[in-house]
Amino acid sequence: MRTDLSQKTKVELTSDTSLVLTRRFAAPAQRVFRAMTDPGLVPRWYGLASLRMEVCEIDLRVGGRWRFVLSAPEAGTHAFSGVYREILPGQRLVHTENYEPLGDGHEILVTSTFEERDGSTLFRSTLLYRSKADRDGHIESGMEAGASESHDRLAGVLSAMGLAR
Amino acid sequence: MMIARTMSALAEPHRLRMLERLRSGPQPVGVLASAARLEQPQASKHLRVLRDAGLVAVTPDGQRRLYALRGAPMQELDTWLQRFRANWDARFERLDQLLADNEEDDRED
Repeated sequence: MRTDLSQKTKVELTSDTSLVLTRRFAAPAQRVFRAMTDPGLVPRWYGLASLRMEVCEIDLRVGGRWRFVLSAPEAGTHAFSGVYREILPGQRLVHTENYEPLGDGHEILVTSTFEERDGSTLFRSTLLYRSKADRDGHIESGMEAGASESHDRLAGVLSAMGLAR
Repeated sequence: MMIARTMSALAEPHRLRMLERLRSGPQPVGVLASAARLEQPQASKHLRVLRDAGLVAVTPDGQRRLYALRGAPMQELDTWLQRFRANWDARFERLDQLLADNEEDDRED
């Protein structure tokens, strides 16, 4: 089941204080849901080349907490945590998310849906921010990590070409 | 910051309607005003915001002035988002791999 469904993440700014991520996965909804909520599986994909996942705690119950810690060699550790609000396995997941250094008042409400069709799953995640500044800041932070991500890739390419140690 | 200006210019329904109307080609203010269901003076005010943000350009066309879309700020906005998207792409590509591996595990079961 490896049909090409143009599997690119779509990012839409749906209002001043929200954004929506959409992505299709070539797997049933239950499996996608599990890969996103099982602490044994999340660390296998959630880190980035520039951000290693060091802690992945998931208490998958309504009111249960989750906490992820990502670390970058030059940019220190980054802790994110939140609480599960709604859990419908294979269908819907609602949780809060907070970048811990920001403190209270900057929580993101994340509502994710999993729609299965012909064995593939449309994952749609709506991120609702407390303010436009929070939303834009989140995109900016992704931008920095993204930049270092491409630097890493460039370094990889250069080393493959014998141009760097 | 250019991006903030682009976004605040876009974050208004009348202005969005005028931009949508411009997708098919340059238009005079009257056409844009009716597309946005506005009186002409209000439409002109919104058009000034779009112009200041670089989202539209004005060219004289005989007696009247024609407004046209300018792509540069939208491209800049897209570039800004692109980096954020690249992170999720990188993650989700690894998730694809994990899901494919799981599928093999399931078959072995």
